[in-house]
Amino acid sequence: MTEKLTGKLVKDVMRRGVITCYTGTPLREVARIMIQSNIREVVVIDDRAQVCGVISDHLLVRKAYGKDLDKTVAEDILLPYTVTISPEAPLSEAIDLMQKKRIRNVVIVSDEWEKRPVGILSCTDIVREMAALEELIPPSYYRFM
Amino acid sequence: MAETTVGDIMHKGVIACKPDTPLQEVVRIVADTDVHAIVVVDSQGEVRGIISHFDLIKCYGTDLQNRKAQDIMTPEVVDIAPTVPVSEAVQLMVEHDIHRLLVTEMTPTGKRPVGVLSTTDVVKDMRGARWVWYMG
Repeated sequence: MTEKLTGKLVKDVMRRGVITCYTGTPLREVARIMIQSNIREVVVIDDRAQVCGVISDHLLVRKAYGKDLDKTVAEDILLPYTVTISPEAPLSEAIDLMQKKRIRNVVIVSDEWEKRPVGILSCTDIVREMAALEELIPPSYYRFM
Repeated sequence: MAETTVGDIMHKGVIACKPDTPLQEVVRIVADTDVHAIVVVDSQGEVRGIISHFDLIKCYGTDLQNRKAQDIMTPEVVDIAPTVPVSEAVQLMVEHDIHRLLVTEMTPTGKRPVGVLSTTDVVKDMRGARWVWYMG
């Protein structure tokens, strides 16, 4: 780690506001949410707004391609949620975690309310942060795109 | 109805860099163009590898100026022809556990990349045409 990168926390880089669906949402709706919001992972929550799992585009293609998307719901294919990190953790810890588990997105859960999603950290966010650190583009330019 | 082919739903055009492009430049291109992977092409136009976001985050916190694209690229690139049905492409993606396929066309001078088929493109196809889900 070079000196200029120390001190960045997950909460500084993560995307706030998680795009979610319910466990009973049909997969066609999940696909629509994914495309319309331009994201690669939808967080699945139950009726108490606690994280149950995630559905990534790769998972959707692998499990549901060629099936009836209106009859299958999110619960049937979701990847149970196991990987967690706090918003106060250092960014380097999140990167290590992503590499160790070979995942592209980490859901950030709040410290205060158990299992409530507060943000999502993806490879894209980290790459943008890397570009911003090279001082070629201001980070604010991307944050609001 | 004829089956959808890779050429119908792929992302046309490829964003590429050279094997000796500094990583600083690679990161800038990837962030600027909002692509999820960049193809590494040598001066003869031959595909050498691919760099995804996942490869790039390994370099977080290192000196990007002195490292080159070829140091971190994944040299194995799975490619597919644009005339192949999408179902076959999906099978290939699942088999290799990858998120994108490079779409290449055979030309007299060799294979030339023409586009990328990512899982996002497949999801877009699965969602169906707009009027189908508005009527629901």
